Amino acid sequence: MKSKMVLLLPAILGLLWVVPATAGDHVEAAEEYETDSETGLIKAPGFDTVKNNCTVCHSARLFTSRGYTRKIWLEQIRWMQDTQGLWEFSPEVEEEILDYLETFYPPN
Amino acid sequence: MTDHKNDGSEMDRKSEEETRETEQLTETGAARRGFLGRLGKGSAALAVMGLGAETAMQTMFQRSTLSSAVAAGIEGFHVEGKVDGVIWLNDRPINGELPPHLLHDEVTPFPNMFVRNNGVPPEKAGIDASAWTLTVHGEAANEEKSYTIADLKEKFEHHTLQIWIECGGNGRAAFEPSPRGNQWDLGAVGCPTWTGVRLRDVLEDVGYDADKAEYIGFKAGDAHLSGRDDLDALSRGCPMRKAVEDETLIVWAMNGEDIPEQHGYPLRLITPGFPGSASGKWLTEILVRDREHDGQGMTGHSYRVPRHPVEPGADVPNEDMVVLEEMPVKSLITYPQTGAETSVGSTLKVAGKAWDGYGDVEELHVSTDFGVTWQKADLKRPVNKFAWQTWEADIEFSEPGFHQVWAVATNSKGDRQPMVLPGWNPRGYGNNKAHHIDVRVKA
Repeated sequence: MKSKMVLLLPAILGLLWVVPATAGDHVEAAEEYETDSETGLIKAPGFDTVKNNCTVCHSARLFTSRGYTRKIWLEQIRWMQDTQGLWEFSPEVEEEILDYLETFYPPN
Repeated sequence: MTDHKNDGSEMDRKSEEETRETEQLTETGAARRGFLGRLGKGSAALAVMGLGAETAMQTMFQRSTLSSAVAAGIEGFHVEGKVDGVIWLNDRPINGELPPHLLHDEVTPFPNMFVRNNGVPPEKAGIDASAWTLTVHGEAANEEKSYTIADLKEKFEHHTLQIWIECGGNGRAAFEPSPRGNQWDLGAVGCPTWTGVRLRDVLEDVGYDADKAEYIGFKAGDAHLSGRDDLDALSRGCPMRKAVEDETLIVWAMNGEDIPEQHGYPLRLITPGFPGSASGKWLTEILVRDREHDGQGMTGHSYRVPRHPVEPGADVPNEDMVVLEEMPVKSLITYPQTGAETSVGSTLKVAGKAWDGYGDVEELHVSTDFGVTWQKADLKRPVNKFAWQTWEADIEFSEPGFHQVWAVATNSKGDRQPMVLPGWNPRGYGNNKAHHIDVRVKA
């Protein structure tokens, strides 16, 4: 039932509106990727980087129980770097983490 | 309570929403009410109404990926001795709350006491309580002085008080846009008894400059999540006015026994009426500060609220945030569990707890018509200041169908709980919206 809803509605919406490509990707992503049994994270591109950088000190649940915008995700990273002992990321790693979080854990 | 009628239109809308949401509840899913409700009904409605396609897509995405994982808390995680119904929000750090019906005990026993950790607690097995020391020092202290727990027990008068502790973020899950932090629903609160000495007596024994002393801060034995020794997991405190109150305690026992590991063994602070984070666990130091304490959890947005009301989602600069102090008046219906059944003509006993950051709840009212009319409940006086108060009311339903019972507490200053969500704030503190249960009434 759940998977039918997910598959059908985008199709219907696609007929009525021009669906933004990114939104379509989200839905496909949900169907396409498995969930990591250890962390609960979606095993999509960027997963390894996020797991290795964001679940060393705390569980993934601390940041996946609700979703946020890219701006808020970045603020949270900066807060952890400034006050909580999080290491600096290279620009590429930071982009990968933000892309992953923005795409797969957007605001509810 | 007649002025509640003024809430008319807003209340109707909110109540309908609540009704639809609660219909989808399962017992363990209760904690995720708002979230589940939105996930369950959002996608189709949005599509039909022609709201942005991307929004609809995102809603469906959420539904398909997150709902089952979030709804029941962490599966398979458990803290030894805790009751089965705890909703574990996180395992690293450990955070878990109770559904309201498991908070019915007048004195909260260990199995039913919520857990909110910021870091990693010291293992009880590795602690020699006889060697544990509390050191008092700081800019406004006359000297640095250390006490063993035996010293505290020997030197100062003992006090046993029943005092509630509520996480500042209890109720956070209801705010939109979603504030960061544990998504507490209703049950990050409990009221055990605590045995120890007055913080004031210890501060006076050390001696401090009353003109200079502004604040006390604590240091604790839990480790920062990063494992770094130079960072505290939590180092909060309270202003001197609070530190010297009769009920502000340094305690070694909870419900007459050693404090359990997750609750601060072997020594903790109890700062009544303030957010739970002011009641530092695994207490090792007390700083008598000449300024507002600036330890971990005191600055930025942590445990702070906007000085003036802000619109939901506002980006509030640090300088416009102030420390959250007294928690607002609040109540829970702890009996029966939501979803109870009764029949027309029979009496349903409804009961619960009420508490207030300033210490006394004056009245509690219940409503079965969404606040149009109110019935005064029988509210007991607290066993001591800052103990939660038990209340009960006998309710009769005149017609069959789906009903709700709402409870609203009023404190000694005349402040009442709102039936709508109070003002949004960046970290989602102080949500004291009235609680309700669903009741199905048979003919």
